[in-house]
Amino acid sequence: MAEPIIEIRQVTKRFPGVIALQDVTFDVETGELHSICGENGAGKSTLMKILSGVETQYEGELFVKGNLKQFTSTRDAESSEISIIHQELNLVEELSAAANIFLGREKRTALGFLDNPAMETAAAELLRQLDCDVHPGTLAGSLRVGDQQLLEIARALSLKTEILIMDEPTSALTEAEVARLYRVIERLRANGVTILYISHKMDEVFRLSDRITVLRDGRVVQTLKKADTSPQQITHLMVGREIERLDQSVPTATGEVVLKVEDLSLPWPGHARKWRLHNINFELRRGEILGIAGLMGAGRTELLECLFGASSEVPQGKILLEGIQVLFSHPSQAKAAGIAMVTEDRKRLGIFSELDVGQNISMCTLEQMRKGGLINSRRERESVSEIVNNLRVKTASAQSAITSLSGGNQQKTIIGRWLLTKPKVLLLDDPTRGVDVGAKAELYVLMKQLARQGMAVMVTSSELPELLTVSDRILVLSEGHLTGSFSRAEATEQKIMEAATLG
Amino acid sequence: MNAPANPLAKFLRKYLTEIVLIFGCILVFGFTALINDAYVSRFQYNVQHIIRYTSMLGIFAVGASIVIISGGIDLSSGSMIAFGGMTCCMTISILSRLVAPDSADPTADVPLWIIASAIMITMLVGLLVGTLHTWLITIVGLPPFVATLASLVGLRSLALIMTKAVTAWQGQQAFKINIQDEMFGFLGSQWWIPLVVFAVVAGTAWILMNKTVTGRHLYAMGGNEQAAKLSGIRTERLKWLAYCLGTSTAAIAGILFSSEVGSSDPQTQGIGYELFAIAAAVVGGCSLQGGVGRITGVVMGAMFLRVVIDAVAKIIGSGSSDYEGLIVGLLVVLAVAFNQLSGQRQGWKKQFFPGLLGWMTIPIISLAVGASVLTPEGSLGFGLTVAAITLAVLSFLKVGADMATTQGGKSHG
Repeated sequence: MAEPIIEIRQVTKRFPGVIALQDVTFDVETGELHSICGENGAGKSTLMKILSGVETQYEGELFVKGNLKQFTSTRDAESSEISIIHQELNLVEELSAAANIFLGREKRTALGFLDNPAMETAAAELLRQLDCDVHPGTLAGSLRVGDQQLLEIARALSLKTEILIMDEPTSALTEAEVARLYRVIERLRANGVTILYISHKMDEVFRLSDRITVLRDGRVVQTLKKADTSPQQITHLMVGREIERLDQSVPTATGEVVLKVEDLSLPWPGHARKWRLHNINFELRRGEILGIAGLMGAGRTELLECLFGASSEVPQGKILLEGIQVLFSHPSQAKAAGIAMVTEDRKRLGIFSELDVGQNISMCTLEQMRKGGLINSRRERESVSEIVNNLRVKTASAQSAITSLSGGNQQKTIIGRWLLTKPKVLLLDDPTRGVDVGAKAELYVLMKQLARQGMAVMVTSSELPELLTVSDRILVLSEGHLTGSFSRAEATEQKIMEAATLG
Repeated sequence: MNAPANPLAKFLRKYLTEIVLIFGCILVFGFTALINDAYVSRFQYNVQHIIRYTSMLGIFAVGASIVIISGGIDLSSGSMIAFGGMTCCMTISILSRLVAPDSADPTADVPLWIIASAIMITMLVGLLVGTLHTWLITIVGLPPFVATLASLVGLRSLALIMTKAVTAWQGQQAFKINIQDEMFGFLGSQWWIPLVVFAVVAGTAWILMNKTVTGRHLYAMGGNEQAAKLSGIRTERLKWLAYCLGTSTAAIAGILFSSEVGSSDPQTQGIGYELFAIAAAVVGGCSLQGGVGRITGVVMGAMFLRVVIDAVAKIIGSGSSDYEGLIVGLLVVLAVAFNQLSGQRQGWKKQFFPGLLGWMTIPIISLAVGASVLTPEGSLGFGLTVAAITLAVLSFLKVGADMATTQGGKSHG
């Protein structure tokens, strides 16, 4: 057995009112790839913050290479050769790739001025090691997410990192970028770097790990060798309960066409591709769940935005809602016509963090809760409690801060906000992103219920198994073109990936 | 984090800012009364004086705070006050000459309808400037800071140009427009008129922000504009409303300031008042990030600012207006620090002068304190002594705090 490079002993972290970590004890061996799995709120991020010196107040002990450490800052952790790649990337978009890699540790000339050529040369060498053909002088903000992530890895490498923490690194990557990341990880491991890998995705975890530690409610459930376990077992340990299985046997009865899209195109001014979406045709029926598959940048979000009147440009082509041609220039018109959209980026585009749970739920339908020009608070309360009860939103009260809810429950309040508008068409843009396993299953059940009640649902997702679970039909987008349409019976991951990677 | 079950505790927590400010007002007032007997001997006059100026400030502070809550900023209030006063006086001056062209002093006795229409026109001009701001911000795409900064600089200049032109056409070029009318002067001479106007403005704003859909939408837009738009909220219309409220309340204040002195004077009226309005909003608990703040807080913020300014005036006597800026600056820092630190666990225990920046800041603060006690009658030596004492006290505190942290760190390791 290899020497442990990190020993975590009885680490406990308390926040006011919550215990984020309790008596966490486990070892990370030198040179291994150790995955940390757990639902949202299990304490993964808090643990990583302690290891990387972001969180400095905690109980318990942390040994790195046998020495007791209490990091006082990320710099302190970096000097112990621990670096972290956060899920939310920390780049200065206005600076060049090279400047980002050497941020805070800039190379200088003899006169004390910035030595840009030296930094660019060094950056180019680091990026070359990572299979990344980005020029070091490119602005970080203009890079694709996958390349931005490699910049962060390059930064970690420039620090001579021995322990690299990666927090859900594939969450925003295309398949090709994921494959490249796997190669980079292999190379890092060949150089003896120990990797702590945090992920929800069982396929990655089982592909990469040597050992897996499962956290639940701030405690270590178990540390297992990959060979001794299975994805089913890990999921089970993460959730600690049986996941509600979807009743797949009952096919949803679909009704008449609600939405018909003919030759829909969305221009992309100033871009070589010219079109974000090009000549899209499809129909959506009552009671149907239509899945939209596609890689990052394929145009999934843009398609939903066109239907919702939220696109950056005016779309061309025809959108027929119940046979009548519509063209919305503002989401308020779409809302009035019976289209609802739950946006992808919940934190940035969904929740109102200064408002409470109830106010977040009533946001779209306040006009209907008016009496004599003022908000009728009794009607508002009734609507809110209807949603909280029907969708089983777990909240202390309707007056609780929305930020006190878990990701899944926040998502339910946003869906609830739109259900109150009694929409004919519900557009869900990656609704389970950042939602834990148990809450995902609840959201699937909810979608099915809504469809059964006659709502037409369109849903996008970056996870194919999810689409295959919920959808009656799946459309595949590739670089703005519709490249495939599969019924539930026909669809397989293989076929969808093939369509999604068509040129 | 956890919502307290006790409704009283909930109320106290929600209105902490207001409660602290009320106690602050009482404390400052009481303290001043002990030092200076003016508050006791001329109690009624002084209370009326404070109420009047609280109201004058509060009227446009409420407008400015609605802009802040909605996620913007309005820097134009001070110039809008001057422009509003000018618009009102100019309308009266022009209309009265049309009505009584042969009178020696046409503004001496103006029919009531002229004053009423001048007030209406002034408020309309407020709406026009607000609309212009909205256009610059939503269509041209300027940041609110830049758009309203342009009017801050531009409107005062425009008011002066118009004043000189119109007075010249009327016979004698001047920098002011005088209105001799008693009725117009009455508006400004009575302490309760600004109070009534303030009560109406603040009351309407409170209902708007707390009881109406529009108000909820303003909070939502201030907190997350993108999410508000994607919830089907017409954010451009809300911005129009917010910026119009910002400028039209300043226009109303401009009428009152002009009627108080019986003239409009673009060169001096309302200079720097935009910052007083923002200060009142911030002291009252508004966040400049938007989405946070209450009208009751802003009302108390305006009152607290005026009480402190007035108290300093009583204690110092003549020349006290020189200290207004210093006081407002200090209060803004203290209020925001209070809001932020009371939300943190370690809050006030934290080391305020750590490391090198601490050693650089201590002499700066000491010099500022020393400079602030300089008077024409006193000497430089006195200021230097005060600075030296401050320096000694702060350094002592810093060294003590430094030792406490190193010991705390040792006991950890």
